[in-house]
Amino acid sequence: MNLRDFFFVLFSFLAVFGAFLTVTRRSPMYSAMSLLVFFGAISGVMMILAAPFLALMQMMVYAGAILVLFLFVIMLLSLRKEELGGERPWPLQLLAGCGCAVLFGLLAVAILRAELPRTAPALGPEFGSPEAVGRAMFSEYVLAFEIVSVLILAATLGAVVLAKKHLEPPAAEETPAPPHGEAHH
Amino acid sequence: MITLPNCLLLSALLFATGVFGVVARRNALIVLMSVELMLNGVNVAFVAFARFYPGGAGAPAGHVFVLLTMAVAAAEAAVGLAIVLAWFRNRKTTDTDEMRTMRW
Repeated sequence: MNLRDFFFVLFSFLAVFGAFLTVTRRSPMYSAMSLLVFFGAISGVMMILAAPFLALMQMMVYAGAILVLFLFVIMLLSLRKEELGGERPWPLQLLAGCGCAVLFGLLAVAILRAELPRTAPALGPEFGSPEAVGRAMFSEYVLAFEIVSVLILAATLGAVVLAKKHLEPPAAEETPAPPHGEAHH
Repeated sequence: MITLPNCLLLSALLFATGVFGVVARRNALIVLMSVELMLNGVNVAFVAFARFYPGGAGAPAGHVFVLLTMAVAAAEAAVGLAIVLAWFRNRKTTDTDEMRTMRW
């Protein structure tokens, strides 16, 4: 077992450990911290799989942006214990766990029965570099790239509108929305 | 040790963990984090396939897909958290079972 294998196993276990903690902790803050471990471990796995640019983007986008967004919201809400909401009863959780184990088992059977390469081919030095990824993205996949820009625009608008507007309580009868959201205040 | 089946098993395990989080938890924030887990599990599969089927001339399609997935994940997190914030402002809860009126 050489060093690469050792780090692959290490990061894999860290990723699974972090993922497990994320879904089992009661408090969202602990979940977010476990998610940080998970993102770091995934970044390491990507580095070992010859994707240095993606490993960097993983740290910057997930750990740097998405996780910080989660932390902002968690701190903004600052949930007290009684506001955390209930959890499902343990038989249901056990059932969900069994279902997910079955899902993993099916996927594992499919993976292990397929004819997949076990030795990694040699790669050129430019594989996974920002230049190679950028060249592919702006030539062959430029349409997908442009569509993603539209998606991000829509998400930005949606987030701004949702964060601004005061949703009507459902008990009130359904009246057409006033022309200005601030009209009742 | 670093074989394609092993990488895919890791990916499947992470995905299944994310599914468990979405199904079994009721806190909306943790459900959103579980969705991130699932997306990351899929990203591992993309990177592994790019490593073992590199294609020609260093043009890794899998890497491009991972970048697109990251953009979708960021958009999903932003909109999801905005919904959770708006909901919490009105109802003082993050319990997904209470979010029944979102259908209208």
